[in-house]
Amino acid sequence: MFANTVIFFRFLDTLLIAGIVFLYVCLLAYVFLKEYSESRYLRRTEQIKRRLWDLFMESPKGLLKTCPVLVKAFDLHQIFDIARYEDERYSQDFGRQIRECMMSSLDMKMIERLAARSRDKWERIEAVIILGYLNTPQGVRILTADLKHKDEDVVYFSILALSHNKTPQVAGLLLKLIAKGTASGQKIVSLLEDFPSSVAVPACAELKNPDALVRYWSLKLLTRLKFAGAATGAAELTKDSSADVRAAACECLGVLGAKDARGVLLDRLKDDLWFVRMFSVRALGAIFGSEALGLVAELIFDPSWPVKESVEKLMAQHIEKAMPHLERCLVSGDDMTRASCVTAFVDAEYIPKIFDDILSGSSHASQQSRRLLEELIHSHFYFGLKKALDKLEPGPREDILKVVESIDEALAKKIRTL
Amino acid sequence: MIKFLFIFFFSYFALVMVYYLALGVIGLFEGQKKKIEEAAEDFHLMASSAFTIPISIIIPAHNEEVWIADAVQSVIGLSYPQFEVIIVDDGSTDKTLDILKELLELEPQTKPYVDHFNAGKLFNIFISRKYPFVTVLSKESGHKKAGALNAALNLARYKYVCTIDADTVLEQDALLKVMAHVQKDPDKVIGIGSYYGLINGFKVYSGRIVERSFDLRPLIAYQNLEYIRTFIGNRIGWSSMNASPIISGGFAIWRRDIVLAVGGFAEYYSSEDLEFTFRVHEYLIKNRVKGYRIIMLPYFVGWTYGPAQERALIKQRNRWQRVADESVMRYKHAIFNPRYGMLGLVTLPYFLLYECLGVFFETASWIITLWGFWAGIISFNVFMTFFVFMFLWQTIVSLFSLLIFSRVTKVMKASYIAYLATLSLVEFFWYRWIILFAKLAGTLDYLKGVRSHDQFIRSSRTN
Repeated sequence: MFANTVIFFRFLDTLLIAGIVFLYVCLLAYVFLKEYSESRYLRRTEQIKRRLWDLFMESPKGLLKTCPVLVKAFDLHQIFDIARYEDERYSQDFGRQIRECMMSSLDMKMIERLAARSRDKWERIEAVIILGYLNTPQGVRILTADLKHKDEDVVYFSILALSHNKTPQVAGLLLKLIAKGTASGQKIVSLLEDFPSSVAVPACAELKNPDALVRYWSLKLLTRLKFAGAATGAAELTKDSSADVRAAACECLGVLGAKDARGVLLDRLKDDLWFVRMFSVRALGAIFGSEALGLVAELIFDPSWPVKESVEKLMAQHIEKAMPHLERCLVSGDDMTRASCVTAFVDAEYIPKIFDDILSGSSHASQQSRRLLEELIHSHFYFGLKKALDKLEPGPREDILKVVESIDEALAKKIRTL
Repeated sequence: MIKFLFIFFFSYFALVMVYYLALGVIGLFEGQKKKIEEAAEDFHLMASSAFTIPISIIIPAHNEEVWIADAVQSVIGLSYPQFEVIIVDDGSTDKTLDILKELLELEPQTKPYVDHFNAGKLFNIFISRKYPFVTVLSKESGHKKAGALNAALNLARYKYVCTIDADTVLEQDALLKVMAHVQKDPDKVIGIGSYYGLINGFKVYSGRIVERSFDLRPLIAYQNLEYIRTFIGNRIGWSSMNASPIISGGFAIWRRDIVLAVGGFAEYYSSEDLEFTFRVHEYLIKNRVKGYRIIMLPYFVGWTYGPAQERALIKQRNRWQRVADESVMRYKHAIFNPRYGMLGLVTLPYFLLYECLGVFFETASWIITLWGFWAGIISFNVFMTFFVFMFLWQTIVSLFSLLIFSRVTKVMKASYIAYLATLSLVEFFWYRWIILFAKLAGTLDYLKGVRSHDQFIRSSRTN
């Protein structure tokens, strides 16, 4: 038995040696040939692209006349390459003419057949992408049918291809796909973002979709498009059963500057979920500016840090008007709240103003600012004291340091030695 | 007995070879698929979209003064619409923090920080005035890389977190290429990683690779070959079966809610990435999450520094061996357990039988064969049969992996691939013994209870 096994292993060794020699030769031949053919392919594609561009520059009609000859010399991969890179990003006319040229010269029936029925999945996907680029009515029909394909890759690339047809109909179709779970909402809206503003109409219609994800992503898209007509629908959705939708609705109202939505946004300040409260604070700040301070100031004491941060940012933007709220929370807030208040002063670059007031000689302003500086120092949070001091002339710097010394002798000593 | 053992060892290595080749074939198809996907994706649109998923990038750094500036600059220069960067200086005793302060114009910040993971004492939080999306944490060392990652997790705010090593220089389109796959289905993609190669020999300026000249030194070239063999020969195949055992810490993207749900990265292990990937699988399987994906992609997303001295290489591989042993022992209940799907049936048995026990089999097979030959139990012909097989099996795997690699990527020049192919013919006579020695030392250290995350010393840069 042992002898037979050894014979088998020896045979395996022989096979391995033959395999290695074969693989080694194949590998070397393959990599060098590949490198050569790829550089040739790239050169050739570049030449074709350049030739097409030259023809276009000479006369737009010349391109249409000569192009069929060139197109016949392409293979599917080159067409794909040209289709991808030579679109309207560079010149709308050029892109349009290339499309027309391809449609008149390519075997469209063959491409449509491949996109609709090819059994080779990746050949089908290539055809789907070209069809999307060419954007013909028949192509759109095939791509729409491909959305129901059982293979998720075919569906995904059909979505990408369909997105070249930037019409409200396609937008509506794609938004509805979110509910079926065939594509992620994130991906769909990132494609729709590139559509003309008319995409807002089907998106508005989808605000009443029974699926929460569709409502959510429609709101996100409308927010991005800043479509004023969405305000009413968004206001209604602030009471949605889905917290994500409520938050998105608040965000949408803020971006649209919907003043009529004051009441519904105030209601959302009491929402159970922190991110709804956060978006509500942001929306009120965006719509009413400093006037919103009175409405949202209490939320600086919110247990959730992102909510605090939203209030803090609003306070930093309107620091003068926020001063009473900030002084109150510096004295009575917990550590996190006081840290937020200090950050508001830093973000508003208010420390030099405090110095100016102290140095101004006006007893009221000086006293108030001295008190504020004292509270900031006693908070023990970083607020850029030394950095602000370093920007002062030696005289005023020393004056401020004396004030600091009277508040915290050790701190003044430390700053002097640094 | 000797003869029986001889047959056993021979069959064992033949099986490992077949396993590699079979996974290589799967990797070939998967690589082809990803190549077409990459070509069809509109990265321009993705780079300018407000709906592209934002990401928190975490860079843990401990005594990384040689590479940190380039790593950070490469991240800052990423082509991606929205991201934040959290760098953790993990108690460096060199100039890492000083370099960061100067490069990023850091200022202390009063950001609330709640440590959910007991990641170690925090000294300071800095924010960059030059790049407001960059935060630097300065913390005490002693909690390994996992502690540094956890400290950053405390501040990360986006849905996905990307961890990269402080000696990794990313390609400008790295995130776009990888996140395109996440964007397709963010609910199902839990973790994703991609291929990265060795930066040794490259010319790098301000975080940008200005010249890709692969290092010809055999020690580096063999590491390149080994990376190709592992990534292409194994990991892409495992990924296609959703049985990825590891998303390497050098470049890994994870969904943050899942990272938090499993309790962050574990400090106990010599390295965190392998155990973490197993833990995420286990969490998702136990919670019956249907259709989740942990993906490994075949794109080059970055370049990392590989050990340039044998000693440094042995130190690195020693740690890798310990990690494999620790993780397999921790998840031994999943081996051949059908509940764990392909992970339990295909990946973990490989880890147990090759990555952990392989070192014993290889050492024992040589000792027994040599002893049998010396004692006259095994004839010269039989000994040579074994010797030739041991010499050849890895070569055929290397050549096959190189063939797949050159089919699905265009990164290396034909001449360098030819150089690697030629080197693979003689790998047996030098490099393989270094790795075997490192693995043996790693296994012994594991048995002794060594769990340190020791870093190999980076030589000073000439590029």
